[in-house]
Amino acid sequence: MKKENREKIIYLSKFLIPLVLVILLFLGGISTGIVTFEKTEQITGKSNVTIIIDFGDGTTYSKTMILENSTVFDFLLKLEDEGEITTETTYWNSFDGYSIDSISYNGKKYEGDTTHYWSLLINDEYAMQGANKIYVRNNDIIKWEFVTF
Amino acid sequence: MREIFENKNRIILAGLLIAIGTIIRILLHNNIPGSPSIYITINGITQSMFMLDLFFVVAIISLLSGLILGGYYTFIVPILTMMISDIAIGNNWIILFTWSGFALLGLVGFVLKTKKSLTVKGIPRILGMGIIGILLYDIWTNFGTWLGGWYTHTWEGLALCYTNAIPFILWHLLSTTITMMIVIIPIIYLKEHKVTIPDFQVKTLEKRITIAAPAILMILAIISLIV
Repeated sequence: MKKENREKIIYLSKFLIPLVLVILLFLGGISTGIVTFEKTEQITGKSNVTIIIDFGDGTTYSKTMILENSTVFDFLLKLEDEGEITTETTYWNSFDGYSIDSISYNGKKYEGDTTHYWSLLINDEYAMQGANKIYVRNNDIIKWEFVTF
Repeated sequence: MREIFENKNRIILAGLLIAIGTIIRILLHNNIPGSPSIYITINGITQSMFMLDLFFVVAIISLLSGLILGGYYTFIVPILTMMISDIAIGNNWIILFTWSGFALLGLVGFVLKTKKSLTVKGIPRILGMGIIGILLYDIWTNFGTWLGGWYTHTWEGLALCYTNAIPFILWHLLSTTITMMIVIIPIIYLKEHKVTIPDFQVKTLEKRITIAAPAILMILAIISLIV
């Protein structure tokens, strides 16, 4: 094989080999179920969950509820539907998630700003994902805390 | 006289890169489309495979500032781009990590410049080093996220931090690789067809400061979280 042709093949392979590897990895991901085109809904069944909201000024709210196949966010919205609290949230496209801007209770609004924010704990551990991505299980304790920096 | 003219060209090009990066970042930051319907499950966590952001804009600006301008512009251009656009759109508490990350990408571009990579034969090296630069940026900035307390300071917290970062890393790799091909290949084509792309010379002291700058910024970033 001429040296020129060999060099051309080596040059093209520097593009083609990584590209083929990436495509194979992607197809392998699909075949093993790691990569999917539909979000898999988690089936958790009916969950008996306690929600605690600590407003940071001595005021707390607590309720035990039962919902089916629901996220932490669903439980918060359920409280709002029942008229217990009022919430303001922002949906972030880039994170496909919601942030809690404020929770109002007993006529007082607790709004996040430069020195305050709402944090989420599940069974006394800080949540590592957005509230709309965490499916609660039976006997979980959800705690929303209004924290001062 | 020639030096002044060369510097004038360098300053104009730097200004152009900063302007383009800043304008695109400000105009598009509220217009990022939602994630496509492709999901990935790793460590029991299912999330969108790509989380879209504008990383690729500043990434390509950083790479070009190192690759074409070199020297002090390697870190000045990406940092000024971020600084000016951050005034308009804000940033987060790992600001020094992101700024130093882009300075690191600029350094990757500068290393490519020293190896005279702006040729057709150098395209695989540019793409390869660019990908390495992107991975370094993501490893560094997510380390900052973990160090800053967003995750628990345990191995599990660190693993979760990087697991949650996968959609961002994949998007950064995809978007920046495509942008590199769209931007850099035409530049190389122009250069190979006798359109003058200036080859700015960098003095030894400037080279040393260029290498030290991202390192100093990275140290400052860690100090800012620890103190």
